[in-house]
Amino acid sequence: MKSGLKGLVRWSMILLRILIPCIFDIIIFSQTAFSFDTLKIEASLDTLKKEISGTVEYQLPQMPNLSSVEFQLFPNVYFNEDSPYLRGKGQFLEHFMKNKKWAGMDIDSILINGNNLSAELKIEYTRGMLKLADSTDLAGKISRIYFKTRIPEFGDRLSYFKNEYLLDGWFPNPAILQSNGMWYNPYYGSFCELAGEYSNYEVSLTLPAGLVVVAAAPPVQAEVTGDIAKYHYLFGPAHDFALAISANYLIDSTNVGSTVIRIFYRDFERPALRLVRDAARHAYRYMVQNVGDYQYGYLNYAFVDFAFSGGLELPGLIALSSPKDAPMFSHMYESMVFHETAHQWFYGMIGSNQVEAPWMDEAVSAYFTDKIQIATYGEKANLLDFADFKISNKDMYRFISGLSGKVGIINKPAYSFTTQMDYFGLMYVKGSLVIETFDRQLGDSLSATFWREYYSRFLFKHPKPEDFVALAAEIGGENYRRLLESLLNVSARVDYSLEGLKNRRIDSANIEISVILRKEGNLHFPVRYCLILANGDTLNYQWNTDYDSEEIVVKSSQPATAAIIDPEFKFAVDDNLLNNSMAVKGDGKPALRLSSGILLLVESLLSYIGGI
Amino acid sequence: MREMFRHIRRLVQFKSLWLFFFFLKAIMSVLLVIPFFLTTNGILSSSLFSKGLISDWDMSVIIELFSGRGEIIPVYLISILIAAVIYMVIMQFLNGGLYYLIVSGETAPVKWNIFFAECGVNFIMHIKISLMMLLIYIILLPAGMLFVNVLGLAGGNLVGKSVLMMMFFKLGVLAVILLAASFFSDSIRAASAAYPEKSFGEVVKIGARYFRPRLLTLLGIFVLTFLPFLLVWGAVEWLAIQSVEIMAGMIGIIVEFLLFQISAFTRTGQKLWYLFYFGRDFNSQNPGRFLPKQAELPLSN
Repeated sequence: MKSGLKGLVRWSMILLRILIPCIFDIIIFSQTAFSFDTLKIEASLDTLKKEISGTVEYQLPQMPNLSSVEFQLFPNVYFNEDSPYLRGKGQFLEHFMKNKKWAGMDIDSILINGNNLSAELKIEYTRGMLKLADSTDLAGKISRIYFKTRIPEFGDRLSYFKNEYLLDGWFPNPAILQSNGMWYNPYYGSFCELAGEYSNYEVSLTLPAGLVVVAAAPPVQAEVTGDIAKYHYLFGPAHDFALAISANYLIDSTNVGSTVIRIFYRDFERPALRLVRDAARHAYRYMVQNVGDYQYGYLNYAFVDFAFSGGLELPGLIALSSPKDAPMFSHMYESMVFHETAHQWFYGMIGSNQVEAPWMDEAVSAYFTDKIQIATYGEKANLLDFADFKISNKDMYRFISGLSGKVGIINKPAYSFTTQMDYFGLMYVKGSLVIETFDRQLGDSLSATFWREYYSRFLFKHPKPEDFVALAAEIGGENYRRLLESLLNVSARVDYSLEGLKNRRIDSANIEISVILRKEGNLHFPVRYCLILANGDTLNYQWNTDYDSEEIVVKSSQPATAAIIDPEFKFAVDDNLLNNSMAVKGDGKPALRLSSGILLLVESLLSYIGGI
Repeated sequence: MREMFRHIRRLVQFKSLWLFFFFLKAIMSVLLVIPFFLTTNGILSSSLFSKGLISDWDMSVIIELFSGRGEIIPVYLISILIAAVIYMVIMQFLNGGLYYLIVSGETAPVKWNIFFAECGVNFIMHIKISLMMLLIYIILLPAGMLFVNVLGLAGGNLVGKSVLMMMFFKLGVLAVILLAASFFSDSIRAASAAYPEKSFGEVVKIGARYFRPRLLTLLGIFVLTFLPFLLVWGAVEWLAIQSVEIMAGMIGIIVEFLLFQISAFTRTGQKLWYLFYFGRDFNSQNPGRFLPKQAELPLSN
């Protein structure tokens, strides 16, 4: 009986041991139905030395004949003046060179199943490579890496300023093992952001008590012993785990649906809270409604002191530069909140590779920023409405596109860009217009299907440009494959225009209307055009754009007063919208009004120069 | 203050001078804007997209115009720069007559032959003063910017609209620095009118002696004369927007144009108003050649 009881207790314990982790997993990761490897990180932050050190442990994938391990040492982008990453970031490079305080990551040792293989480790820039004999099978073995990261002052995504920290890429992150057995270890050139594999994170962080830590989720366990605090976090699946730390953070918490939106702010940033909270809610709702559910329990925003103005997307955590540099008489700051929130979908949960195809997250997020901006503040003046000057987000896109993103291939890696202006102009602005063109050609119904399908098919996966294009063809037809391939892979100016509009009376009842349509660029996609008749009627037609220009002749009882090509501006990439329409009778009023305004400006200038 | 408002009467008395300076500025500007109108009209007149500009300052039209024809922007900027230089040189010629008139205390109507004679006599002196002032502005502008940036650091923890207020405050400080330089320029020019026989160095010294103790007074007077102009400018802006909205089409545009010109006309009036006060005050301290002749009393035996 006694032994029977003992046996029952033993079996109960075994059962509990099996069940508890399962229940734990169900509770923690119930929102997803995926199974991922776990990254166990134990680290401590030394606020005096500005270092974070510890270990990362994970099981290597069950890939047959796996004889090598690769991981990323992102902090090495701040290693010295030869860093390709710093080449396009002049202000940081200048700062590091002036202060001679470089940063980086040291690997103390790497253990595979407890065996120290540090002697075999090779480190090249941000790539850690452990290559063993071909006969070695590393599949399923436990890799443990001991690291120490020196945090740069005034960096971008990994930096400290006084006693505040933004930590991204602070631990050795596994490289991505591809289906062909090769490791993909990103090359971090200028304008590159971290790329990683999806994992579940178990993170233990030790640091001085009194510091508020912002992570993608609140700690499941917190212990404070004297001056030391230890936090334990569980988060995932995600391809990164970033932190923002400050002693001065206060927390504002609200619920939207089943998600808690937390804003971490310093007391002086309190006036901006409402604005950020409202913007976050608008963006969240829009994205959930139009793309798919947010997969985590928390969406966090933290104000940080960047060395630049802007925002930074991290999984479950958005770092926003303190609004002290953003006078809020426009909706510019909200636009940044919208953009970074959209990234939680297009980067965070749909893990396209920013290093190789930045348009897949930047251009798509910029497009959704515009959509959220329109849904929240209307089509016109959604960025600024001041003294009759109305500026929309789209106006800004078109302005920047005119300055810097006129030509250039969209589908190219981030490290191939040489200037910030080119990167921003092409990836954010021109890219957004490309996605808008594709989306508007799809139409409302197919567009909704496309984005929902894209989300559900690639949730916690790494879609490539060809996956995006293939899905477009699957949903819209082969025409859309051609359209996207032209838009993404060919650098050419796109312009649809009208070159002539004439009425010629042919008899007492009929008038011959001739209109010359022209297109520039390589898009072969039908475009709508219309004729507006003297009696107000509109005749709608479609031009198949088989040729670069074509004269269309129409018989009508009424003369045409105007013609418009692409009247709904569905080709958002069209370089010039002024030549999309033509009126038979010109109207000097717009130029007259503009000149009248310019005249006042010139008079004012002369007044100040001449003193009277 | 009462003294200040008394000078508005002089402004009305010297309306021909007021109109002269306004039309000079307007004609220069129109000459500059005509090519701009012809070019933009060629692009905008046939396009339906440009219609948005008739009812409001639709930035999408302006952006399409300039991003599509980016190459014309530098051409316009260079044209404006050239016109500004030409206008500045013309003004140096006219400054001789203008400062003679305001310092001498001559009464209306303007004796144009004397006015232009003074223009010719003092032209070189005013060119010299302008070159010196150019140097001062070159030094003052970066120095002023540095100063206001230090102010910005003090407000480093401000957010949102407070940042905007801080920005206006910083602009205000910068404006005061530049205004002080312009008062200095006025003082030297007035000294050159009162003492045409003196050398450039002596004229600068007389101007500086007058300027130093009166900086705050002159600033106060300038602000007093500038406030009505600001009110008019604000009202004109508001009325212009209303007129275009209410009177759609050509009538609205014409009304707006006239309102804009009222604004430009008022700006000229504001500076003349200030100069009338300034000239009278300068004369009271440094009469120079305008010292009234002493009456000779016959001596009786």
